[in-house]
Amino acid sequence: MISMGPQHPSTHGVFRLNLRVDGETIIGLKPVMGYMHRNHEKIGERNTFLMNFPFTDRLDYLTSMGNNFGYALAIEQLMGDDARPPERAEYIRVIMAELTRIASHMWSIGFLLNDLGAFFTPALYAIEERELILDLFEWASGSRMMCNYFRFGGVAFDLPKGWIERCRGIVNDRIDRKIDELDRYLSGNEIVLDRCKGVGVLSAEQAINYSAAGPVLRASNVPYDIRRAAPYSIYDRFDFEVITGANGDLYDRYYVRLLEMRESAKILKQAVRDIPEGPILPGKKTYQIKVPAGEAYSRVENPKGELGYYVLADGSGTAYRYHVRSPSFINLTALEAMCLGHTVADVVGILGSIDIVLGEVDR
Amino acid sequence: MGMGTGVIRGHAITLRRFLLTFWRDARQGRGLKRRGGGHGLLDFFRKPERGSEPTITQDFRTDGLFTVEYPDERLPVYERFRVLPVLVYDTEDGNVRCTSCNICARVCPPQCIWMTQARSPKGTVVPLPEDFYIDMDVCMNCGLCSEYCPFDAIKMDQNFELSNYERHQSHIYGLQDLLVSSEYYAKTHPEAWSSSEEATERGKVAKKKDQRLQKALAAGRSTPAAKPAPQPAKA
Repeated sequence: MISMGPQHPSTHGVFRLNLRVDGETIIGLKPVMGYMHRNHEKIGERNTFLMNFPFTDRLDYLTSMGNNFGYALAIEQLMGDDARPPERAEYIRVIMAELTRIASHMWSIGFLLNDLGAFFTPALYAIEERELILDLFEWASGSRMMCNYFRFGGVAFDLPKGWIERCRGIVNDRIDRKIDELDRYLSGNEIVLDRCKGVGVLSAEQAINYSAAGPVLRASNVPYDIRRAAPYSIYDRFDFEVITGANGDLYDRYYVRLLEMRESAKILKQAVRDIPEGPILPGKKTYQIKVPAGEAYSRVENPKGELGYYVLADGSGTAYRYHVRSPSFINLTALEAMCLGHTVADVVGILGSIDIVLGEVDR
Repeated sequence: MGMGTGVIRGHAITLRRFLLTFWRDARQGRGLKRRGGGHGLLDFFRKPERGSEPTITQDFRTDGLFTVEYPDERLPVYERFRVLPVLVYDTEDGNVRCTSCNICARVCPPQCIWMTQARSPKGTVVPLPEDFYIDMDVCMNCGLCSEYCPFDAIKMDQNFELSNYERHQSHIYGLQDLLVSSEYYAKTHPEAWSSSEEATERGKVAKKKDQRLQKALAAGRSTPAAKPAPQPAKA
């Protein structure tokens, strides 16, 4: 038995793995979670609906815009016509969500390489673009990571002057080049191939049975993307591909993320081209939000996978029941299946390829 | 597999980026200078004066290093950048804009705001805060209080250099710690300040508040014995 973590640098936070090893080979693995449990769901039942927004930022703290998006959709589903986002708000939301996806995938690719032993050089190259994207977030929403930018029926503020121009510059001139560079740098690299090909294989059947989502599922050759399977917001207007990998190994999960960034860039180019002028909220800004009784489940394709919010409202100011289906947590359940038969060093890489964020695993 | 072209290509990319970092500095005529250093030709140790540090804007034209040598260089502070809430008083007449309506305390997600309403000697309510506390260790910097304040009284400050040796007393900000002048706010938030919405809102609110204040004071007969206009903590 080896207890790996909770303070192990490869676990991306406070997360423990109980490994059963035979020599170097893994014969059993049990994830131990809960070191960062913050009672998110119970707090969500104490909070009024509006007050819960900044808490959703702190689920998966690398993708706060995406978390906001899912939560906003859930409550808008309950509120119906009172909170139908205007056109411009929809475009802003999609732009923000896709920028988040690029930032998160950049982070994940960089730190996957970090886990494989390429200490920080690829990680720092990758997160340069994230830096620019976070600057955009800070400019528009006031914060780099805890954006708290979405509101029911729209977004909190309109884009500042000059924002869309800089965003166009980044999207049109820069991101593709950076993705190409990462591709050239990593995809054909013999060490990456050696460490990643055939490691941590998850078959399509297994992936579905573990209800994995996001890049982990798509790398196992299941073309399932919520933006396509159940289009929300205005994703049905954009032209993009659902990327799949062939083998479901570590390399495919890396490569799916890389190609997904290209698709995100494609969506972004269409969005920054077409974004209309107009209002960003359907009515006046108010803190008194009336949510009728009922239940709603909304899901978005977050960078990590399917992020779902289940809200049961009883007509009062707070949710009666609030549940988050967090992709990192559910993808982790497939960890043992991926790791069996590999070595301890591979576990580090496999865990990196699932791309967990502990804020979301433990909630 | 051994060593092949992939590894060599990787090294070439690293080399290219290494050279780019020098290229940017050379192009800007700072080849020999330390970024964030003083003004001389070979200034490796001196620092720019406090307050006059160069601001580095990183946009899509940036190449080479993404390092900003804080505190000798700084990133631009965007207008909406938010750290902690502050209360605004009007510079012209020293009136605190807050009417202690409690909306900020109600929308505050971690519930870190609490206040008491001022009362005249007669016991009637005066639309001013008697005391106003924010526990800054609990505050999650979400900005909802300033977003939903109907009197434009609570605003998000941009000062992020808040390190401290003590955290038990000094992190609970009282009214005196929170107050800033409208002049200060106009300087940190020029766009919001000059926007038409806030300007009209200011006019409306000033009028409404003045009326309410006069009424409340008239009811209490004597003038502000209950509440001397608070002095600014920060200029």
